[in-house]
Amino acid sequence: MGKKFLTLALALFVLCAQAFAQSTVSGRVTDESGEPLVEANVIIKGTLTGTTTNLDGYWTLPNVKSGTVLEFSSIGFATQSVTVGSKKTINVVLKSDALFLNDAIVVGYGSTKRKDLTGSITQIDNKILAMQNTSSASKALEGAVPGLIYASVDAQPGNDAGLRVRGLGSTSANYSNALVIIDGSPAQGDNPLSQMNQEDIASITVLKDAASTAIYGSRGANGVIIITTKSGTSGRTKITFQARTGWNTVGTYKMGQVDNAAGIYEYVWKSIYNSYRYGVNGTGGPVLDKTTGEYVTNVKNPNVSDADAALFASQHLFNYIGSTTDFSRNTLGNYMAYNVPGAIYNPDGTSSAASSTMTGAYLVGTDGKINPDAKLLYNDTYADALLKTGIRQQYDISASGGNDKEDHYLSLGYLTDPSYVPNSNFQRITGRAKINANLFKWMKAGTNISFSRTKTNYMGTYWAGRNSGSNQGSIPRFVNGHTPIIPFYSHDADGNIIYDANGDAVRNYLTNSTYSPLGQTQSNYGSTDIRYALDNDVRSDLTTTLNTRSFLEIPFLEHFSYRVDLAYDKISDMMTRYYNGTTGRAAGMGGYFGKRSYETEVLNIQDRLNYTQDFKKHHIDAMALYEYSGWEQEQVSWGSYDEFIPGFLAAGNFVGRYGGAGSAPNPGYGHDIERMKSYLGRANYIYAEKYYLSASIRCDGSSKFRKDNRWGTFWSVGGGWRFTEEPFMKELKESWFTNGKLRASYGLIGNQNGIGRYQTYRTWGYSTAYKLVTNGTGQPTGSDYRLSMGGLVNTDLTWEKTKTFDVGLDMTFLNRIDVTLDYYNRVTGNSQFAQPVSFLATGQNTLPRNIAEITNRGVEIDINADIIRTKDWRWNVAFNASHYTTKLTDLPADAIPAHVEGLPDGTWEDNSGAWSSAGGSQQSASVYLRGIGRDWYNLYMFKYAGVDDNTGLPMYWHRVTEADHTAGKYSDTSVGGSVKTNNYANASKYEVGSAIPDLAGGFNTNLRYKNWDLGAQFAYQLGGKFFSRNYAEYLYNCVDAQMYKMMFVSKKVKGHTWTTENTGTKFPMQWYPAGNTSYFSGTSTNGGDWSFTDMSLFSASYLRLKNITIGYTAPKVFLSKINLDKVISSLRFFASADNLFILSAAKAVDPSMSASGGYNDVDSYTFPNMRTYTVGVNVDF
Amino acid sequence: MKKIIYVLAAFMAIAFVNSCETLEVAPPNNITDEQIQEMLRGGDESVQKLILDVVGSGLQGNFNMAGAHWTGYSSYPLNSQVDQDFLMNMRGNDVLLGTLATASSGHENAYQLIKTYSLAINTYPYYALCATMLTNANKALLYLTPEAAEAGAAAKKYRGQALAVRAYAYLQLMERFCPAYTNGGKDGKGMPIYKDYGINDPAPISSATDTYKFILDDLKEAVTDLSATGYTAEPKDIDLGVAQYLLARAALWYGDWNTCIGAAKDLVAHYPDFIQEQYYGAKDKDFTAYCAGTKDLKSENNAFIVLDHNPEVIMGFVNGDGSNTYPNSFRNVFAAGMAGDGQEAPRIDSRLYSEIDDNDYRKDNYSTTSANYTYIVDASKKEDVRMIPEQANLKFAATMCKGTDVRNHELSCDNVIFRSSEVYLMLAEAYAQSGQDGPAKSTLNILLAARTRSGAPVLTCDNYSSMKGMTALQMVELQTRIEMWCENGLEFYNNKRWNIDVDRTGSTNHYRTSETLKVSEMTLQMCIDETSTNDHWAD
Repeated sequence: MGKKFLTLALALFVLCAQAFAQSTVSGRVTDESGEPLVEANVIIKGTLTGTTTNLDGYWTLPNVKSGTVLEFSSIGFATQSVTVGSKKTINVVLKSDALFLNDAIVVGYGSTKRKDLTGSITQIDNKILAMQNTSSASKALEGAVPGLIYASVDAQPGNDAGLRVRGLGSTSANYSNALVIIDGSPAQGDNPLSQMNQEDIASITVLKDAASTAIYGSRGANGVIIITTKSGTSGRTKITFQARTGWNTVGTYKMGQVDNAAGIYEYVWKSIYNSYRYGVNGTGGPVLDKTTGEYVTNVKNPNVSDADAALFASQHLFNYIGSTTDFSRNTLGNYMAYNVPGAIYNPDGTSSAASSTMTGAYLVGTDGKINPDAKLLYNDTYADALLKTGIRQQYDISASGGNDKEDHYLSLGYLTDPSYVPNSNFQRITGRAKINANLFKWMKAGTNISFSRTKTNYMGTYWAGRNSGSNQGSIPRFVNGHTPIIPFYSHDADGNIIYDANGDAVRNYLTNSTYSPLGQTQSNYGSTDIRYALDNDVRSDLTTTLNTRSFLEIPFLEHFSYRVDLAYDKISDMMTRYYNGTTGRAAGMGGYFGKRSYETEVLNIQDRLNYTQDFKKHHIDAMALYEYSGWEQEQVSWGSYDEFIPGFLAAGNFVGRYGGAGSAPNPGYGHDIERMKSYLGRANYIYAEKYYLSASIRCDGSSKFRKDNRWGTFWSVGGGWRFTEEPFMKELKESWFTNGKLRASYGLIGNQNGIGRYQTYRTWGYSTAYKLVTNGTGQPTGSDYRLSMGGLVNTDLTWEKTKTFDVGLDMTFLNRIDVTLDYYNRVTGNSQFAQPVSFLATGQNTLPRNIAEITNRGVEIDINADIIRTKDWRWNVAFNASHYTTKLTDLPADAIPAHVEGLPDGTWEDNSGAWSSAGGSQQSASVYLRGIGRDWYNLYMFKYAGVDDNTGLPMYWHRVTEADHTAGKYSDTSVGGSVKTNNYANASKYEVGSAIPDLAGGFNTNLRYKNWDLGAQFAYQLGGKFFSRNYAEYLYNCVDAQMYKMMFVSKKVKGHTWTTENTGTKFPMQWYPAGNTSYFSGTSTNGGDWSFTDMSLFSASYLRLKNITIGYTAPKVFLSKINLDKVISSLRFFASADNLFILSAAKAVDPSMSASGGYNDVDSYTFPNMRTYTVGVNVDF
Repeated sequence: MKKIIYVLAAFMAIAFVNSCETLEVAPPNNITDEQIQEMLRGGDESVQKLILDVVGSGLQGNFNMAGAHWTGYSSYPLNSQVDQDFLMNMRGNDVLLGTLATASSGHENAYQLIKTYSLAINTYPYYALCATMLTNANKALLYLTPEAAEAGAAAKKYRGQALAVRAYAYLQLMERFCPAYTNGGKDGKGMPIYKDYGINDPAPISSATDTYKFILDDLKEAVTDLSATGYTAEPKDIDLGVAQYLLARAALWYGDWNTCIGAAKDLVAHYPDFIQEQYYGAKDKDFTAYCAGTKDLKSENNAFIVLDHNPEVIMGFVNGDGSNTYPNSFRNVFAAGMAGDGQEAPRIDSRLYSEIDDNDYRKDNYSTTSANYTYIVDASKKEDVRMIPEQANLKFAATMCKGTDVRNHELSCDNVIFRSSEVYLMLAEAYAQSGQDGPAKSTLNILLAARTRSGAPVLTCDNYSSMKGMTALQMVELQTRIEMWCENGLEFYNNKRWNIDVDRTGSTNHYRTSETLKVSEMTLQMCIDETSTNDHWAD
């Protein structure tokens, strides 16, 4: 007994000793060409323990038990498993997997392998993001994903771009944004992608079809963008440091306007010449012939001779105001940028309106050219003074590592990203700690906490929406809105800059600030010292964001697990507005100071059961999940005006109440709540990695709807067939057709974005009269209380529902070329539409109802090719393209707004199109013609019809009507036909094309040669229309430009307008803008209410070089030479440039700013995108 | 097994314990309809009274609407009652606008008698203003039920006011969109009747008769409800006088002469006084002095601009308490508005001017010469010199705006909405229409006496030079045109009733004489926005 026991015990000990024998194992991982694979993962299967390979592909793992299975993986290569035996060295050659078939792809509430997808999903590697120098990952997505629609809107650092997927998910286009999920929970703050550090992002996944998005139910109708942050990997702790610094400069902002003083004077000379010589009845312009209904000019019978007109224009260059008898300061504002020897100035007009008639010598001679003897006195410009190069700096450090018990990722980041406008910038400090731990065998837990503090300084001087437009404080407005005859600084008679007692250059913004021999010079735009305002005004948002994601996971039985996720976000935002009391907006009130504080809390709970099992060739996984999402925000505001000490931003320094220039003139408080509960389930079945089935269902309840309409059920089914796994494809697969999968999905997805939080509630207004009339507020009189009932509401409003069909084909050829094709058809029914109702019957014009149907249909292609893959060379090219249409496909006849004569049956003019959630702003004019079967962005404009050779005036197309024939007009043209007219009032609108491009996408290329790497990313768009308000209001406007302070005409216009000697021009005759003259500008039909013609409608095609980066990785030998190889495992230097160029239909036209044709998202004086140059270094320790 | 039970219990607990009530999120920032209803059901009478009081307050604003953007444009010329009425003033025989050389605005377009202005695509603002009044009234009447009115004096008063507003809304709709009932409209369509506020299905179009009956029923009840309120001194009040005025006007349009006479008599009994000669506008004799700057007229001394010296006001608003500046801009030739600096002074047709008796001091309200006037056009005291043509009205003129002692660019003024002279004329007309010429002339004589130039023989129907040979009704028509010249678009609407076309031939100062406007063309087409949303219009 005793012997046996001892023998047995010894044997067991030996066995145990063998079983638990541990040793250090090492080796090298290379690709098929023998090239070392850097940062390949070496993981003990079934654990979090592992390591990564170094620059030479070597790895070492201590304490590895014999019999352990090691998994070797690297992006782009097939995973390989090796069982550890007696060998201490294991070298592995990973086979290329160009399809990344086994890569983990993040999907809704989980992940899967690329080869197992049944939905249409695109995942973007973080390397693409890391190359680009943006403050928001959203801006790196332009052209990166087929089907992703992008609108940058403006250049303000810290603002996210608008992103939506595959057209519009709703006729409430304002709200059709893609859902952004960050680490599993919806992001519900403003600009969420700017609030996080791009360096923390491991991947961005875009879900597009029903199979992938339906799991997000009511939130997925406009696509889903899933952001996954980096996690730690087991093994030695790796510390990564990156520093990059560079320069932000203005992008393409010069629009080709006449940019020299001589050109401006010559242009005005020509206008005066024309007005004097060809104006009718002394008006200086055309006159309407009420008999013919057309405008007439005297081009056929000039008022005076050419010589007389030329002399008149030379003499009265500065004081012609449309009259041949009354003269005073005209739109040149008395600005004389030249010294004209021999000139005599004979005063006309009175006081500030006085100017002079020139005799003796002229600035512009009778030949219409600048006097060659004239000497330029100044040429300082607003652009030189206001646009500056900003220094961009970004520093990131992270640490990642782990063991079999835990893994961790820690990071800190700092970014300062200025724009080219000095007080517009963005600063961000971020921190993240992500820790996962195997607490027990039966329990895992993890937490992911991030913190960011951002400060976004907007152009402090303006107060409009994101695209500042012609707002009085818009810096682009000052830059492009002042011609070179208006100096930025005050100048004396000799052209020298005037300095004040402190030796500072005096700025030219008030009347008579700059000397002129003609009379008092006019003030600049708004009489604003914009530089002072720029340096002193404040418009900032200070945002602190705390994101937490925690989970607890309990595996049970063999194939089940239970997991609870808790996400809590706290966002604090403090808006500050200060307008100085000296100049600009608040000069009249002694300055304004306001604050508005937003406190936002987001709580998301996910409670889930998972099941996964593989048996034989079958794989099944399923999930049941409950989700609660709560969003709550409170805001408090305060504002005051009339400061004592200029620029001292303290409440005690301001005394004004209940008035002011900011967004919070009165004390205010607001509180908003939004909640959702959801139950969802999903199941996937795979047979032999060949046949795939998936299904999901989700039931959402939203606080936006009343009880009876609160819940919506959404679902999807999908299937896939990897036909290259079939026996009959074996030969092809082994030769060139590496992989092929056909997949299809169909599903129903909901949408509630376009529905207001309390839209189904009627509210009452409570108001009173006040004793103290201070901007309408103050102390109630106590006797005049009013209770007013709000408008009618539709308590039956419910979910918009999108049915999505998608069929896709994934193919890989030669193990190198990856091609994905998709066709989709998305039909959003129940879409909320403001149905016209009788005002008499209801007291309002429309009622929101779920009655419209909008259809998006498109095709996409995504190609990724490894063209060269050798030891020294690697060249990869990626290309994607998408084409889609967005059409209204159903609307009840009684929902179509009242028919206006001249419109096609069943159509109406509409203005809805602004992407307000992306920063666009709605214009009041109707710029789209809508109707069933028509594109949603079907532009409807007046059409320019060229120049009338009888008058030199612009003509417009007019559609002949029954009324015309009744009146005996245009009888030789049938009703509906078109004729030309030079009477703007008779212009008709026409359908001029869709804003949606025919094709959009991007292409990238990455080239590596030994230690050098070069990457470039492009975005493009082909077709579609883009309207430029800049061109319509200024650059192509031959009459209406105010010469001295608005943007001046294009170089294409000067010298190319119609004259009696130069007919057949594109642009009509110039006129001096006296009185009511806007009717013959050619770019608009009456100068107001967005009555623009298609003269400034351009192709929306463009090509942008988004980024180009060149890098050099220091060789190990070099590190060794400088004795850093023990400390530094990798050292890379790089240089990078963003937005180097854009090719588009016209100068400084950037169609990427708007997805609606430019009408609603882009104002005049655009805030153009930045250009960035950086250099940097990456160091891994 | 325990573990499984624990896990499932945890899953179920989190998934289902959370109550669905958490999704009941009422607007946190505003009072909801449900809260109001609950308070009304609560039985606390003081709370109920408070609600009813405030629900009914502010209804007077419907009589002087401004600031609405019927077409989405803030600058649209039909955004106010004043503007809508003023444009109708332009579409008649008696008013012309500025001169051919200077007029070019939307008002001048109306003066051109452009026919398309009456088409369905252009009449929305005329409709929307009335629909807004109707909505406001019906909102209040949801709570100001007959039962509520019986239960409390305040509710009774407010109910009467709301009924008056509703009736005025429908009356204006009838005046604008239907032929005059007494001149061809009797057998025609009226309006769809909506008595309740809510998501109403489009109602059938009532006959003109039924619509007028509805209007009169509302007004008669309003008179009853407001009887306790009586005639108040506050000009903006919707008091018994306003209800009686509307009743008289509606009855006149309906041809219910007795009702009109009854209401008008009650009114004139309460308004025995007239605007005195010295406060009846500016005078031609001072015109050149005003233009030369050697004399001034304060707005306080013109009863049409400031209510202080206007004993005729049945309803009006004072500056700062509901008035707007449009009337002063449109009509005051000395103000820096459209009539003055804008050179669009309303002028009187030479034909009507010639019919004003020389002993009638109203003749003094029109310039007999032209002269330049210097306008202060902005706060910096920038000046414009403009020529005021002859026969420009001085009726609504003053060189200094209300509350100032200097000439400036301000336009502050009070607004006269309804005044008693019109009631005398309505009373006279009702007598004349019902064959009672004697009382008709007696009534007119009261007005004529009040308008007799100081020191001149008292004017009567018998000695008024231009009224010789006229019937009593014709006398009423002429005196209405003179007395109510350029007020409330009355001439346009009265022409519909009196079957008078607009024909300017023969005038020596109208500069647009080629266009005419037949009475049949004075009925606005119902706007397309209404006809396309209520299929009954096609019946």
